[in-house]
Amino acid sequence: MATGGPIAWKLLSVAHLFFLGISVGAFFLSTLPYVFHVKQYNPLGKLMLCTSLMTLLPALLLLVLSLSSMMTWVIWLYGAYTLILVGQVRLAIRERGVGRDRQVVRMLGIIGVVVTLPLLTGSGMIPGLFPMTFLVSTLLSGGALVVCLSPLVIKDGWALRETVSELAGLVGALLTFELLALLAEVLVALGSGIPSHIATIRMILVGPSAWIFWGLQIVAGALVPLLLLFRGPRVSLKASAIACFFILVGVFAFLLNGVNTQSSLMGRGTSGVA
Amino acid sequence: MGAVAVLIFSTVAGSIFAFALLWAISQALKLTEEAEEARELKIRLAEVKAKEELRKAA
Repeated sequence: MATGGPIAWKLLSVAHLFFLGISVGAFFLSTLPYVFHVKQYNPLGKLMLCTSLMTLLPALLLLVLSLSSMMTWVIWLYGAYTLILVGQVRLAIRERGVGRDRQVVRMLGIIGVVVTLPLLTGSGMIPGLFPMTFLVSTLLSGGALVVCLSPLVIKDGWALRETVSELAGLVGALLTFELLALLAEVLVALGSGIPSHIATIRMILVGPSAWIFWGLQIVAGALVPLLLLFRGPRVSLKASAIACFFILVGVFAFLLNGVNTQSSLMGRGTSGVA
Repeated sequence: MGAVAVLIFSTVAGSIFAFALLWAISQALKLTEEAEEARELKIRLAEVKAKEELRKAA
């Protein structure tokens, strides 16, 4: 719905991608305990699935509001993804006939990963320029929200606290990986000699909205959380949650940059030559 | 037709990459857990040995 002007449309679009990314990221992380049998993440499995379902609802609402994707098959994929998630949450929560239920949750997890990939592509989440970074940033945002929400569900369970601390470490590692992948992708794009790619990178790094990249994405969204997460061997739950909040700000800035640059280049006449 | 081919390719390639990434993460986490367990076992073994030596000395 572009009635609110281009800025409103851009924000709706970014918010839609943001919530979809968190949902898919939390869903991908839930495959660690349910599909890949990572035992230490078992206590967080349900929280991951619930986070995924909770953030899918605003993503669906924002999709309807922004109408960023009019393709029917995307709607079908959303339907399939929602059904998979609801099924998984139901089976994970009821804890009856654990063995068989877990098998079904595992199968749904595998199907879900395959279903969400075209969903991300159809929603414009994986543009050609930064495919790897986008996938890692979905995991990052999903993990970050799970860590942010964990203080709400942890009462006094030491084991759960340890698990969240481990997840915060994984989020930190993913953030480091994403920064390296981003650097690699920027260098590849600059070295490719393709004018549209170079124009995009220039717009992000030194364009009028460069503060979004340097201020929000790099300083607030990467350096501050890395300092908070890796300042010592034991990081408190509160510090981890604050770091993860900043990571979410950085992911939002990353998506804002993507949509911003895309629409600016399209406005110039699609060639994107600087 | 071209768009469909790109979509199918990106889905297949993306799925392979996503599964590979998740598998790599899971392996790294399992290794970390095993290392942690081994460390705890070592500490426990050292404690048992120390207790045994104390008992013998007494």
